[in-house]
Amino acid sequence: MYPSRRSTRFSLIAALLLCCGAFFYFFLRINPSLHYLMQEPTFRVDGRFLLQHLSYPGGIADYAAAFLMQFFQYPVIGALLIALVFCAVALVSRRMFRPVPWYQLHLFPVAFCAVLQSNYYHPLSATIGLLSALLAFNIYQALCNTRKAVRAGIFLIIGLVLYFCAGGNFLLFALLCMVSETLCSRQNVLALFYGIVAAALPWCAQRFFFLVSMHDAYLYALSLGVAGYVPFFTPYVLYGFFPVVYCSILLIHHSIKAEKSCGKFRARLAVAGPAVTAAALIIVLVLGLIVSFNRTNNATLLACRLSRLGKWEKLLSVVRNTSTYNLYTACAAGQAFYYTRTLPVDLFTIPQFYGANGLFLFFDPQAREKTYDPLMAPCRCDLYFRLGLVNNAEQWGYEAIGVRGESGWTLRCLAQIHALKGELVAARTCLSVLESMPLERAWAEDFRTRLDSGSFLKNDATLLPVRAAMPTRDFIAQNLELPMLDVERLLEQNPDNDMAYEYLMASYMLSGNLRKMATLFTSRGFSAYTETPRLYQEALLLHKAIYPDADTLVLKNHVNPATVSDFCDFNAIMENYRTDPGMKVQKLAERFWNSYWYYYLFSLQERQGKR
Amino acid sequence: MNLKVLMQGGRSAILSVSSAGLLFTYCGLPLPPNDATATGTAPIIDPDYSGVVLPGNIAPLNFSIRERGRRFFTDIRDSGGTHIRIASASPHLRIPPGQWRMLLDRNRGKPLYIDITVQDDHGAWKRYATIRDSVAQEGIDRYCVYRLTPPLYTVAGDMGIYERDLSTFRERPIWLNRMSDKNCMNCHTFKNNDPDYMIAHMRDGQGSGTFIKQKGIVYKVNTATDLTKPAGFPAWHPDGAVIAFSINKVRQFFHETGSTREGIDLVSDIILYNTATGVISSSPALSSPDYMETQPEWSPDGQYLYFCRAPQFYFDSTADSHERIFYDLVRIRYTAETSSWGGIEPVLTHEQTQGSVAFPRISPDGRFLLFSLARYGTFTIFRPGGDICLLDLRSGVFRRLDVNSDEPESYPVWSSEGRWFVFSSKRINGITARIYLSRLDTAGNASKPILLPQKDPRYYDSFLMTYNVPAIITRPMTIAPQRMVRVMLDNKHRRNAVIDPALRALKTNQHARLPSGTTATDLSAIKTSH
Repeated sequence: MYPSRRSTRFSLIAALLLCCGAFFYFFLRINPSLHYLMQEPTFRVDGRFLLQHLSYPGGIADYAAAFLMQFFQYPVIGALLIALVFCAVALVSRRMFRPVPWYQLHLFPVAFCAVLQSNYYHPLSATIGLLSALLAFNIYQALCNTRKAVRAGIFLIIGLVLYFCAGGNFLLFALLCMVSETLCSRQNVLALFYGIVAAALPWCAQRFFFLVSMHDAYLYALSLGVAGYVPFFTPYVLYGFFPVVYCSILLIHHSIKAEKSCGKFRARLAVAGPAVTAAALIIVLVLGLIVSFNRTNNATLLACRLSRLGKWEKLLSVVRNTSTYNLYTACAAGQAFYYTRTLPVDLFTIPQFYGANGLFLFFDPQAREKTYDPLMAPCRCDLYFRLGLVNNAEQWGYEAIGVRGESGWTLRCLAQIHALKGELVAARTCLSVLESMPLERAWAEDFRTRLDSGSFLKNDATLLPVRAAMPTRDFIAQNLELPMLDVERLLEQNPDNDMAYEYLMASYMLSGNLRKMATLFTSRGFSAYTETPRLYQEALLLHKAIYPDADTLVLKNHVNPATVSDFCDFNAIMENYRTDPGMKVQKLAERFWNSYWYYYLFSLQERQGKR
Repeated sequence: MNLKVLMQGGRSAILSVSSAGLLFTYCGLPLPPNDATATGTAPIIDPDYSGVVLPGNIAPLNFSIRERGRRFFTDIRDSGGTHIRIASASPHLRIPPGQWRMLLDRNRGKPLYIDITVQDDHGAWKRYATIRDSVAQEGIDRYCVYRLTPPLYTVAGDMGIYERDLSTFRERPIWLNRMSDKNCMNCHTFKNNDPDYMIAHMRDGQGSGTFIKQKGIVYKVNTATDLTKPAGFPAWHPDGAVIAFSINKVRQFFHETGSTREGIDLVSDIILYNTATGVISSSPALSSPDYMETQPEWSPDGQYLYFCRAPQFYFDSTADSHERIFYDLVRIRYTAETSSWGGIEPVLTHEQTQGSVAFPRISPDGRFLLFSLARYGTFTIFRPGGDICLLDLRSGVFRRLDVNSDEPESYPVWSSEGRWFVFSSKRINGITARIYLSRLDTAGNASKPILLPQKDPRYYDSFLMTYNVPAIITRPMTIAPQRMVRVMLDNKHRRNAVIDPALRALKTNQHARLPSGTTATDLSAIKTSH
């Protein structure tokens, strides 16, 4: 039952192929940059950061994961690193399953890890911790022919180091050692001793050494408490796989050895086993990856990432092609519409389930827990920064740091915000933090140079518009309760703030506040477009239809005959199908699905429960 | 004779020879020539430790030389010929702790000089004007306790309460919120700088409540009752039998220009918690519906309770009405034997201060009262212009101390002997608060404040956590952090506060005076509904 050279080569090739597959899967489908966006790990090259990670069990795994995950910003490198980690998992698992090499059992953990890694919340530290535990067990196995006392010593030393480095993964190591001692070496007392050590070590560590909760003392750096796994039991399957399968292998191995005429049994195993496991592996892998892929999270994160990068056209294409909409996609799409100059034209080409809340990434105050969604703070920071509400952006930037730690992107925003506000020392503090991050250093040094020379605004396409859009007089922010009010006040002070204007118009339309929309339109006029944008024309017509006393001059000057004709057609369909509401909606949707009239009469009313 | 070899900035070796009366430090780098050009100006050092008065037991004041150059030579000396000489290619100076300690010990009550010579990029040496500091005769209580948090807005991130040994750089956590439910934690307070009497508060999550340590007894109190919200801003009575708290309903909001955050109390009252009986009591003067009472502080003899008080305010977020909340400093007589109260006596009014008083702190000898003075409200750390002031309780005269800056200063606390005080200030960057120490002489003059020294002089440059609620204690905390958390999480250590019948009657009466239809049951709601 021990591996031949051929089977060894085959299992290595199989592992390599699987990892190549993982690379392409993660690069093309999952996109590690979205992992980065969801978790935004901090990695700093300084003693303080390292010391923080030495202060709790599992900190070293976190440190290693933070180091690797900073490269996840680049999808190719991220996918490559994931594939390499998986490859390492396969290699260290292989030794454990060496007695049955042709079963390719070492590929199952990779499959489970791939399913886990498909969850954007999955911490890489859990995979690194698992790898450490398997590596530690390999070392233990390699030394298992020594005397009992020596083995116990080795277990203690490796166990302590592993617990310090990888936290709860020590428990897996201890469990495997117990199985090994019970079934391989028949040392039940030693196994019992290992069990006691495994139970006692985290307890003692929490009680006397580390300032962590008891839960973290036992389970830190395991993926058991992480949300969002589909199927939810995958981490349990992964951690259970090793002791169960290892135990089974040892039992089978012993039974074969015990059987005098084992040839038949062996032959049966040799033929059926690999086929069955290969089939199981394929089923696990395919089903796992299909089920675990979360389209909503993928689309949401992709929209947020593209919004950060300012790739507006691509963002709109992503949002239009997705079937899942949420506040994040709505907010990102709103910005994309604005920056592609299509907000007053194409706003209703995507469903506006969230109304004005979607524009401002504003969760219903009743759902308070949503406020602490990890993506919320950085996304709001970006939005308010672009709108010119730099204090709101600063608030959400620091919220993001409170919730997620010192992420490079947020610190960049904060450095720019402080610079724009003239708070140069605060800006330099943020830059100093950035300079301790390997991948942020270049940007920070460049910005510091510009800051020191007093020319940070010069030719800066990002900061100049923000500077021009900022409020000039103080008022109390309402972004926690009614963000629209902040934009109203901002526009009062800064009438040239086009983004504020378009956002306000859009939010009035989305909330069905036609009077305010018409008033704002009349008071400001519109110069950014050669003709009045379609949705404004539609809203003005509707406004006039609902409020007959409204000024007709506005219609005359700003609504073209084609729109009036469309409105007549819309009304005609309404009239023709008065008795058949289903057909009416169908007919209207066919032609006017992206019109403001359709939104106002159907989507908005439905959302407000006034159908 | 004592020989040491040290590394300075990882670049140059320093050989230090110490003998009776002489410390001499030499390194492999070239020493400046005697005829170095004198600039006549003082060097810029960061933190600015020039002209300060040092506690006799303070840790080395490591600093960076903010002058351009490629070699830096620093000579720290006394008038008796004792030197610490450090030559380095790095401008970031780390003073050998042992030599520093000896230098301070020999110079209690005497001046200390720092000479800095810098070799510029062309090889020429420039000698800057001598910096003159002085060492106080006395030291400062050795331990400082503070909370470290990210700049907080609405979400509590990772935070903890830490204890720093002021004579070394050793900082140790005494309570981290990662040990519990990532709760917000604050209000750590000690009785007369004694770590045997401690209060700390934890909220928002599992284990919320007030931790109390009285000598060997530790327990958790739930100060929230059907009439009171959880209490904060504690002040121990000197006999340790009662603790004054204030109950505040805080409203945080944000500005759209300038400093972002703003906080005000919507309602507040002062209550008294009896540690023996667990009864919460108050008096009409301390929980009046017409005033907001907050931030109590006992006089050292325990006969008076000082606190801040402002007329009840009704918040309107669209107006600047919050800028008209002005707190006066008042006091009320307390008789511990009978638990009875006298009448309110104004100590310092808004008319006198033209501002708003917060965080009153009385010196251990009862002579001075330190407080924060802001333009309005009591959240002085959010507001540029918040200053530390000193009131002479004998003469009734108050003045702004010379320790202030344009950025917010807040939360002064005294050391046990009353010669030193610490406070937090955002003077460095306006965003994150740092801790400063200053000495007060018998005439009430404060020395130039010293930024809490760190081993790496660049420490604060990239440190985004903010220090708040500093406290000074005479000895290190002896209770293990794990035990503190167990006390908070385990209900067997929990005591529920009980409302005194008189307070209940008082509140019920206030409630009865509300318009009909008001169903609010707790104190905050009663006041808010006005």
